[in-house]
Amino acid sequence: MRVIIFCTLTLLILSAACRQDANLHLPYEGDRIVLNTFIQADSPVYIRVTRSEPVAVLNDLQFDELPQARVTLLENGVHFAPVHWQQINGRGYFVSELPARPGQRYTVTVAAAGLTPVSGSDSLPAQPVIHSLSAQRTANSIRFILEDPAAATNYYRIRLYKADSVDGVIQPYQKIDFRLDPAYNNNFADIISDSYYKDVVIHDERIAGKKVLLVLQTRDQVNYDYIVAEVSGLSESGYKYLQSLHNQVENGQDSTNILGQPIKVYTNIENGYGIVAGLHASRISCRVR
Amino acid sequence: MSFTGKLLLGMLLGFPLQVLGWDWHTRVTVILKDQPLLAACQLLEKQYGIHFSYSRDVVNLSHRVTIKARNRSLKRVMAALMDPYDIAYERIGNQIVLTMKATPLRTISGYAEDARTGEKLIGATIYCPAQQAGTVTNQYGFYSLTLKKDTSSLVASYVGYTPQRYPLPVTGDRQLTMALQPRNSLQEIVVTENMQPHLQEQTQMSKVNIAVSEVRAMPKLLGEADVVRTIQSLPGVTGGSEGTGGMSVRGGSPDQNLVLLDGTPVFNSSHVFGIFSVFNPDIVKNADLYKGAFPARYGGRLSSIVDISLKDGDMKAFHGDASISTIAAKFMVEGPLWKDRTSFIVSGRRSYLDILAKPLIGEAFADGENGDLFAFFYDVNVRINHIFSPKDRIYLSAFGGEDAVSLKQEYDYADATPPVQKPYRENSKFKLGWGNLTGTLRWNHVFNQQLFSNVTFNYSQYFFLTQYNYRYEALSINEKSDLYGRYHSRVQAAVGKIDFDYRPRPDHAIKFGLASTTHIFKPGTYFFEDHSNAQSPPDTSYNNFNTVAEEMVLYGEDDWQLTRNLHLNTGLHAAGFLVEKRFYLSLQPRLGLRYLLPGNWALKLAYTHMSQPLHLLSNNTTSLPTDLWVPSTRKVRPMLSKQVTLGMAKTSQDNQYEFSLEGYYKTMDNVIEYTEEANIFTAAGEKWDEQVITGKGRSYGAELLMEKKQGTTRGWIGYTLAWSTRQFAEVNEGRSFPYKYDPRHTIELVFVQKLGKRWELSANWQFATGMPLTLPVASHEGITAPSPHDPDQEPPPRVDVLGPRNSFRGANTHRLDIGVTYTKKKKHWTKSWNFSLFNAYNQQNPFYYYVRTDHEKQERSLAQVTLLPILPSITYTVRF
Repeated sequence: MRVIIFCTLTLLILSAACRQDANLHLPYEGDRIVLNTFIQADSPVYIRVTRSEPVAVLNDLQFDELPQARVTLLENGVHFAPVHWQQINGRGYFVSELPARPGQRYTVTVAAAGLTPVSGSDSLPAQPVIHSLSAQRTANSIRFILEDPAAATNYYRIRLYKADSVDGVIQPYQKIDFRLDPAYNNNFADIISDSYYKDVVIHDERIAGKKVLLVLQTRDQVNYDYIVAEVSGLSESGYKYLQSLHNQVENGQDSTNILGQPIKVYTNIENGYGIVAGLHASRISCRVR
Repeated sequence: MSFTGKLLLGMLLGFPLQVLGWDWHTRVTVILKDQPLLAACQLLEKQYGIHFSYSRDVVNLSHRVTIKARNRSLKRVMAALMDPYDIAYERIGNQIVLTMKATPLRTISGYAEDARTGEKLIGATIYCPAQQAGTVTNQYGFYSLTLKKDTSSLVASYVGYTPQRYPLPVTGDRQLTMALQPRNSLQEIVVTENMQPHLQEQTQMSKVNIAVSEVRAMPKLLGEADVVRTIQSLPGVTGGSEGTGGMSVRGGSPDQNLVLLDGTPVFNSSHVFGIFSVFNPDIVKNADLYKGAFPARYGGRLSSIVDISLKDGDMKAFHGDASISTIAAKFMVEGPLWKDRTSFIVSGRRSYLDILAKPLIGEAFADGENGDLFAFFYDVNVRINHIFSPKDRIYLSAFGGEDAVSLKQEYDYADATPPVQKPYRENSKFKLGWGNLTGTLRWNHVFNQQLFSNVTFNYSQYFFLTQYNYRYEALSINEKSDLYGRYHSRVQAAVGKIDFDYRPRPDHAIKFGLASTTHIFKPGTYFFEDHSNAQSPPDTSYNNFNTVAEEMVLYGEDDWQLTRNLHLNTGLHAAGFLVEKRFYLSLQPRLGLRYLLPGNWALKLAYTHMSQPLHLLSNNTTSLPTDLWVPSTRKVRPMLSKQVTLGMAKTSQDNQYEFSLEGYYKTMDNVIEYTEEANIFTAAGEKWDEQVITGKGRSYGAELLMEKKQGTTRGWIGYTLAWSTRQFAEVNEGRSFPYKYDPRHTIELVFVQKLGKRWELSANWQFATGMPLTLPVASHEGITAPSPHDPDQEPPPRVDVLGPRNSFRGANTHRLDIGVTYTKKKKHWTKSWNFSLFNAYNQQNPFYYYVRTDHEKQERSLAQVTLLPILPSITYTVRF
């Protein structure tokens, strides 16, 4: 029996999975235009235009911007507003002169020298209805009510912020790590693995047409004065993009999940990469009790 | 005498000599080598004026003969030519009239069994040397052989047993049990083993019988011998990465393999993600793998049938064994409940690493002061066999097996020391498990010497279950949470069927039958409770529905000897599948041809259709226990395959060597996979078919198997050259791409050497070219925020763009496993030790690839993970 125990322990040590460099090179299929924008209702449209890179290059996550690109923005197929290159917080954006309008469909096209022109389009979704935000100091949960309209399939992204009151205006300043009751997103693993997120993306399959109280469990105790809950309505493209992006980062990219499969991130850009997606955010705030 | 007188005398004397110029004593010379009988007749007619009259429809003169008769009487020559083929010859006038002899026949039938234990022997050869005719016992150990009435004896043989001659009574049909004595050498180890008739005597092709002694002799992984791992060492069979995650046969997907345990389907045949199979080799009697040329009695899957039969249990005395290996402990007990009438066999196995390593694992999982963790697999088999009469016997068996993980975590931070101290306590319980449960009731009945029947009722279910409890309670304020959630999926099948085995004539072996199966699918139900809030979650259960389907099967097949050298196996498998008021009918022809070439080589050809109304929702990389069985729908129709196989085969005269070479071409329609954006774990709602895409598959290749079956040195060499592709309109812009199980070349070498009475060495070397791989081909910036002015911005994520599906190849893999077994017989029992080295030279085979990021060097590269390095193991077994 002692022999067997010894062998077992030896096995436990030996059976730890071994990682090493593979004798294979990562391929590259060439430069393409990357077009990214989440078009937010009642806000100027911020469009990022960059160039793709080989997978093997890291470059501190800095991708080449294409400030000379020709960018056009159409609303329902008609020229909408001029866009201008601006540097904001050290990053370049093409910014529209006019804010996007709810319920409209926008198309963005980009052309740049030496690269194949690209385009993408999407519609803006409806604004979510949320209210009754509440939280208690030293507690580990935050609650609010979400009213899901019955007519269509709806997609949401939920974020929570710590906030301060500045001149009577509630200003969010830091995201809160939280998790959702698995009853809403079927994600048992969060409970078991003690996982918390800065945002959670769900669709309304479980809550279609209902008014539900969402109880969000926070990683840390609530020890700040104000909180802001942000629920963004997403278009289907936006939902697919964020969901697949999350899955790739969690399961496919730099993965430690041995059972994962390579995840393809959704794109609706023709001849290039990226996403054009509509988004409509609601924010509510409250003072912590 | 005048000229006229001489002429008349000559006519008088000469006429009879011309007309009746021969009699049975006429001396003739006939020398022919491998010529048809017709050539002999033509020679006699031309050389000696002997005319023949016969009906081509009745008398077959195509039999090839070799004869060297110089100056022999016509009678003797005719006897030598015609008697072997039962052709009667009679002189009428100046010609010989040929007819077929009306030979009286009789049928001998019965069972072949182990004389010591009463165990029925599957595939034992029953042979009549005088007539060069024989048969083999069917999967229930029954045989039926129709012979000439004057047959005086039969010989029964089986590897591991002493061949035995049985005298027959002078006349009459007879039921005869062939009780064979096991050979003495190592009989405790080689209890049963199969010997099929020579390959050139089987019309069946693409079938491999896996001898249980080979399974036991193979090097072990973590101390466990395994039937399925042995099957994965055969040409045409590909395991998942490092033997995990399913089995692909001739380019098919893992769900296209029908695994039968005593005729009962087993939906998931593996433990620990495919590393071990659920079949305890200690009670396996026989295992057959069909890769193509499917007999009409099988259906329901596209790519393979794995037919496993369990031991019946000793009818005469109690026996058993117990063993402990590096990972599991197991036992088996068998014996008579009523001597020579009722026997039983019970076996059980459980892994025990979780018990030994509990302190280490508990710490790794930080399960708290009162936490607990179990992670194990087990399986249990029970079987009872009762003989009512020589014509009736009943088998009742049950099988259960499960893999389970249970984790309990409990924290009370109030008692912790700062800074860990928190004003709440929480505990959680989590359970994850999956497994099979089957039950079988079988009744064998012998109607008469020629007709045997088997009636079966069986039930099989596969389930996956995960559930959690989470409780949280704040200590300083009134806040608590009490959540419960459960997810489970299940597939069930209840089968009633009757099979007949009918041997009306020596040149026909007919099987026919019908079956009805009720399938019940529950592809993933969620159930939630929240005891902490005034308002419950939106639904307490979700996706809670069953889909019921009925499957009906009618089949018939005949193994027909058309001529001495040409055999035909023809059959039809008709299947109907009724689900949600839709009915899918499938007529599946099965055809096999065998032609005996000079030199005792058999040329074989087979063409089969197979239909599969069940689909498995599985991710695109690995088979997992969470995979969901679902029925066909209006959008996703039953899968259909067509396969043609051509090959040559031969067993050497001394039964030592087998050789087979086969080429195949297979098409598969209506294969499915998840869409690339599907959220896999939650995608089996009532509209699951909107989450999958439907396409085609194609595979072709060649397989070579050379096997040494007997002697102190045994083993085989296998080589496969294969291609397998898939094509979906939505993937790779509709272009076909290599299937995930598509190694171009695979080589298997298996070697078993007995050294004296006590030692046995074994080695297994496998090589496969790299599997297809999907790699990222570019990276780009991602986005998560609509505005650069949003608070608490994070750096944009990096997105990897995947290249065309499976357009790259991983590294070639190879591995050597070795084992040595020492067996010593004591007075009342036998003990044995087995030492095995899995991956003996510690080859770092890739289990999967991923992109590794080195932030210091500012570069990314492809890295691989090896799951199974060199793994030594030890097994100790006691048999009594």
